[in-house]
Amino acid sequence: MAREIPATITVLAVLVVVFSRYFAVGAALDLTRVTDRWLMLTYAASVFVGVINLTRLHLDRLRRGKDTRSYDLVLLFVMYGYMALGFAQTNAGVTFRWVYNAVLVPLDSTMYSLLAFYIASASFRAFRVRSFEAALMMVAAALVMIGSVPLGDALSPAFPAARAWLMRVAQTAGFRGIQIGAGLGGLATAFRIFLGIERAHLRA
Amino acid sequence: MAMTRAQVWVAAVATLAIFSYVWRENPAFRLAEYVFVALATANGVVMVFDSYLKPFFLVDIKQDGQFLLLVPFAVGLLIYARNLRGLGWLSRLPMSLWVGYGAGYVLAWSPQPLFIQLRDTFVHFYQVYPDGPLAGRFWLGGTVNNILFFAGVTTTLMYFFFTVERRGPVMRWSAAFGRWTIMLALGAAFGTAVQGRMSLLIGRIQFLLGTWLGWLK
Repeated sequence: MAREIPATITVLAVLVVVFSRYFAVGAALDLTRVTDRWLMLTYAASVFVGVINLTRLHLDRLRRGKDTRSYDLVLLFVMYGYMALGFAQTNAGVTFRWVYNAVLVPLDSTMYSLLAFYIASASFRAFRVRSFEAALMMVAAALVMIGSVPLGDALSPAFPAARAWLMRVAQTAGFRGIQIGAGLGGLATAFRIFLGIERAHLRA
Repeated sequence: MAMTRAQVWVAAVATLAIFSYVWRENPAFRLAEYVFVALATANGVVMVFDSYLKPFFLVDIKQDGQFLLLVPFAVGLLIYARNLRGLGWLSRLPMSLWVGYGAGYVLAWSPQPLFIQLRDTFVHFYQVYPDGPLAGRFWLGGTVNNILFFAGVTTTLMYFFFTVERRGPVMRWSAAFGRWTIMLALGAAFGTAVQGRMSLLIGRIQFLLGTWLGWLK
C-alpha cells in the first residue's frame, strides 16, 4: 500500500494533464484549470517544510554543542522573529518592509555580487589556454564582455559586431542544440515516470 | 524606494559584512550569512502565507464555503508526515502528485515548443538583403550565418549522440565542430554571467560610496 497508492496517484496525475491537453473532451472540460488550483494549494500547504528542516538542523547542532552554536541561535531567532512579524503585519507592514529593504535586499545583491570575485578567479584558472576549445571559450567570453561596454565600441566597432554575432549565431546554435537534447531527455524521463520505470520519488 | 538614514547604515554594515569574505572567512560574514538564510526563508513563508493561505482560509473557505478545497490542502499537509515515525510513507502521496503532475505537463506541453525549435533550425541557406540599396540581392553574410547556425545545432546534437561510436571522419569532425559550437556558446554565456555579477558589484560599490558615504554625486 505504501508504494501502490503513490504510484497510482503519479499515473493518474499524468493522465489528467495529458487527457485535458490531447483529447477534445478533456480540453472542453478544462480539467487543468481546477487541478492547477488544487496543486497550488498542495504547494502552499507544504510551505513550512523548509522552516522545519532548518529548525531540525540547527536544533540538532545546538544539542551537539558545535562551535556554531551562537550562529544557530541567531538563525532560529531571526527566522521565527521575522516570520512572526510578517504574520502579524502582513508582508506590506512597515517594520517588515523596513527589515526587507535594509537587510534582505542588500544581503541578497551583495551575496550575488560577491560571485564576481570568484568568477574572476575561476576564469583565471579555467581559461589558461591549454587547448583549442579553451581558447575558443576564452575568446568568446572576452569578446562578449568587451563588445558590451562603451570601451569596446570606442576601440573598434568590430567588438560590438563580434558580440552580436556570437550572441545571435554561436550562442543560439549551441544552446538550441543543448535545449533540444535536454527537452528530449525530459520527455523520456516523463515517459519513464508515467510507465513506473522511474520511481525514485516513491522512496521517502 | 528611498531609504531612511538608519536603513542606509544597516544596509552598509550588511554589505561590508558580506564583502569581508573577500579577505577571509570571519565572524561578521558568517553572521550575515546566517541572517540572510533566516530572513530569506521567513520572507518566502510570509509571501506564500499572504498570497495563498490567507485568501484560501478567509475567502475560499470562510466566505465562499468551498470546503472541497480542503482535500488538496490536506494532501499537501501530508508532506509533514515524513517527520513522523511509522507514517513517513504518507509524505509520498503529495510527492507522487507533484512528480506525476510535472511529468504530465512535460508530456502535454513540452513537445510543441521543442518541435517548433527543431523546425526553425532548418533555415533557408540562400539569403538576400531584406532592405536597403541592395535589397533582393544575394547576401553572403546572412547565408554563411545560416549555414553555420544549422551546422552548429546539428553538430551539437551529434556531440551528445553516444549511441554510435565516433569512428570515421564524418562522425569525428561533426562532433568536434559541435564541441567548438558549445565552447563558443558557453564562453558567450560566461561573459554575460560575469557582466551580470559585475553590474551587481558596481551597484553595491555605488551604494557604499554614494548613498552611504556621499562621495559620489
